[in-house]
Amino acid sequence: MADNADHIDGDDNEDVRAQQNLIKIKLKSSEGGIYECGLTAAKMSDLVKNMVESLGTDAVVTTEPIILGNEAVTDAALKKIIEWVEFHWDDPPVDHDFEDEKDRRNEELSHWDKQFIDVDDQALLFDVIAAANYMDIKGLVEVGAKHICSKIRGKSCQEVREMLKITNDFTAEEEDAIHKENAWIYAKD
Amino acid sequence: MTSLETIDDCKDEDRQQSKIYAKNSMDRFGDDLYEVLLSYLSLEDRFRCECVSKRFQRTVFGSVVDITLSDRFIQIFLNAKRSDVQMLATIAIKIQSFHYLTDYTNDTLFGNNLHTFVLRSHLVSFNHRWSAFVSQNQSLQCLVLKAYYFTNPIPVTEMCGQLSRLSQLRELKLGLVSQELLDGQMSATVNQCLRTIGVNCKRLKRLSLQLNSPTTAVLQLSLDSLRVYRRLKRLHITANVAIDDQLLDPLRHCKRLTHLELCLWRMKPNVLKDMHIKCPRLQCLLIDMAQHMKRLKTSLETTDDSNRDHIQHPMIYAKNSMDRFGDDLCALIVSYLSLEDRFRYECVSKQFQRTVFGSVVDITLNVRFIWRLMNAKRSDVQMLATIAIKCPKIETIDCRGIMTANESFIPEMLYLFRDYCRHLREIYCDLWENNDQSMRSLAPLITRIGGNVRALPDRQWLTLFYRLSHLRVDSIDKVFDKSNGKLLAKNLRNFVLLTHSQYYNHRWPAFVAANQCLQSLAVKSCHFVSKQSVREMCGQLSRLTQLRELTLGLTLRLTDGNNISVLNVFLRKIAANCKQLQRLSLEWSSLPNEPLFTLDSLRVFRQMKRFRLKTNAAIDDHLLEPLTHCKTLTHLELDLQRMTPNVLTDLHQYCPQLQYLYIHDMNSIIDTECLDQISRLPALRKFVIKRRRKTTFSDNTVQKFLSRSPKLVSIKIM
Repeated sequence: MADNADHIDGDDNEDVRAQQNLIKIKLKSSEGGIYECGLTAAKMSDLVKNMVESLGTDAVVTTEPIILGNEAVTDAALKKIIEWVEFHWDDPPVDHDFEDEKDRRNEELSHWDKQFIDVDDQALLFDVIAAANYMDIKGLVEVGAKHICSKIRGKSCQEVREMLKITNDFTAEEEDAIHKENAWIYAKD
Repeated sequence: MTSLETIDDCKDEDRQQSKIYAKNSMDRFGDDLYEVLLSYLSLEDRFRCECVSKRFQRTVFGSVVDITLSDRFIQIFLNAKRSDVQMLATIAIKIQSFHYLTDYTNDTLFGNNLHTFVLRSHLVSFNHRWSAFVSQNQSLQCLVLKAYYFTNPIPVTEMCGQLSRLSQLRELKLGLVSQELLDGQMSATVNQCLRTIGVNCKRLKRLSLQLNSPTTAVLQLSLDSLRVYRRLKRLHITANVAIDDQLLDPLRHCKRLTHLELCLWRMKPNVLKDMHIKCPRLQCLLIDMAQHMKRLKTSLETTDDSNRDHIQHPMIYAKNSMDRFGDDLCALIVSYLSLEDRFRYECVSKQFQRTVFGSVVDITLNVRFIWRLMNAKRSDVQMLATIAIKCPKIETIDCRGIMTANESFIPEMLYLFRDYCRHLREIYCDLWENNDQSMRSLAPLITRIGGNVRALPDRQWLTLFYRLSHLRVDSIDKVFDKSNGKLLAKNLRNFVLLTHSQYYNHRWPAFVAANQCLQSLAVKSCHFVSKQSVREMCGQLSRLTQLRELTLGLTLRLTDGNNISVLNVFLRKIAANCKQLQRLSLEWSSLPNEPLFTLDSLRVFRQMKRFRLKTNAAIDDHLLEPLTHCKTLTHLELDLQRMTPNVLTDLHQYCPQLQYLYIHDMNSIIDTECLDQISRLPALRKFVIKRRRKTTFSDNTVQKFLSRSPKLVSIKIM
């Protein structure tokens, strides 16, 4: 079965994808925790996908776990990420025949994704986003981005700084100047 | 074993070895060497010698990779057989003028798919040839136009608009000779042309400009538009006019410039001031002072700002602070903010300021936006300029559907964006009345027209929009010239026609022929009374082989046939010919007492991915059965006035791939049982249901529905 997996590109064949996902590979966090993940799901990460493709599936399945060295890939973050890819691996592929990119960007998150990403621990949330970015899982980074953007909508700059713990590195004069430039934003409708 | 092998070999070798050539015969050479030897023949001699031997014939033409068509050569051909010239369409054609490129017998061009094209002179009267030439030579990499004589800026901008469609262009040499141009007009025209070309021909690496004006009037030439040529590697400028001291300032934006040649008759030393800052990577500088030549070589060493590097110390950020993200990730996250929010949060931090505008590539100017600008206290222009400067990567501006009251501001706003956003490539707009001049100068950027062509005072104008890809009109007649019946809109990709009837059927052949790349066609309301006229239109539409999307609103009141069977014949023919068709939207209006509506023809749409059906016709339970054959169908929208729950019964068997289902449930026939059927769709991700009455389902029903549909992501009840 593993032999076949190397030859067939699972992208267009749903059965092959499902079958491949039964193969488990091991991912190792930067903290040393080792977690199992379905192959197709793990390949949603372009980083893992490239590694699997260059090493060959057999090697990945039978030997050492794939080490994810970025400090953001903590045990907790990796668990969350695996949860996400295991839920999403069988999403239908993007249809490039239609110009829907813009629609997709503006689309609201699904109920499941909303619940998934709404974590209280902001450090973990940022770990997940940074780790997903490092592992090159575009869909998950998008979920994180949409979540953050929906959270700051309607808030003032100061509130945003407090919420996201951003240091204000502008002087008061600089900030004033920007406010003046963008006065149209505060004009009444 | 061995004996068998040797026998085999021997037979072959026998034949070959039997030929022994005399040492002094050229026949002793193989084809390869032959070809090398004969490659030194002139083109005419090649034809002359073709019949020396079979081997000559085989090898004499193989090495022809470029030919020069001299006047004499062309004359020979024109005198002999005309049609042969076409066969000689080659890699490099050097000819005098378009005059020779045109076959007057059928008004076509000879050169197709050229890589290099050299034109020694060009006159305004041949301007109309560019459109066809550019279309047929999309792979052109090098264009040399040695001298173009003009007295009026419009033809030049027109020509450059056409040239800007040559997206593969790597090298461009342009010689412009202005006659009787007013002060300043030359400079403005040249800049506008260069801008159009620079923005669109992204691969252009070498540019050579020759600007001559016979008048001795004081022209101050500046070339601000050079700033858009960011990939430029080599630049040559020759000009006999007076130049601005800041002429070379825009080169600051051409970071890759390595070669610069200047031949400026009235150059002043100030022009070269600060060259080391403007062009740090310059390797070769040639200054031709018309009298004596100086070759200067700047040192190749670049002054690295290496002492700046170690200012950056590694910083340690709190885990729960967004400061920990690098600019890339931060930019990605804030890219989901709305345009207004971007401005609102610009001052959150310097990182936000750096990253928040980078991803703005298209903006929509709507009424609210304009309103806000007008209500803000600072002047509009200044405000807009700030926006444009902050978002330099804008590529697309959409300003369709703005009320007439605010319309007058739009051209002014667009000018501003054009001047500041060097990536601006596309404008989607309506047509503005009484704005001749702005329309002309923005025309090369306009790619989509949303409004009605009625607003166009003179339809001829449509030809100004060289890059138009999307057009919406109320009648196909609007895209034809009233007086001479010529088609004005060509090479469209998306065409929306609000109404159509048999009276305009005669317009289709010309339209279809000139719009073979059409990908999306919508005929919103189409009314026919005879079978023949349906057949005519169908025959024409089925020639659109690139069609991906088709929307049809059909009303058939045939006096000589069965409406429904004619429709099915129509659809069958479309499906058989338009193999790329993936999206079909059908609105069918039926007579009250018409027989049952069936769509048997759907079965032939094997590639279809999305289907929408709206009708008031009487339908039976098996209406959707033909969809069984559309294995790739993922999206289905149903708006059936006389729908019965049974229509949906076996949907999960017909469309196992269905991801999206929309139902306009006018009569509230969707009940628990019906939902139960829908929940069997194995791949369904989104379900949208629109109901007239404000009736919702019980929590229990929805819960059950959710638990049964494995992949459902959202249900929307409107």
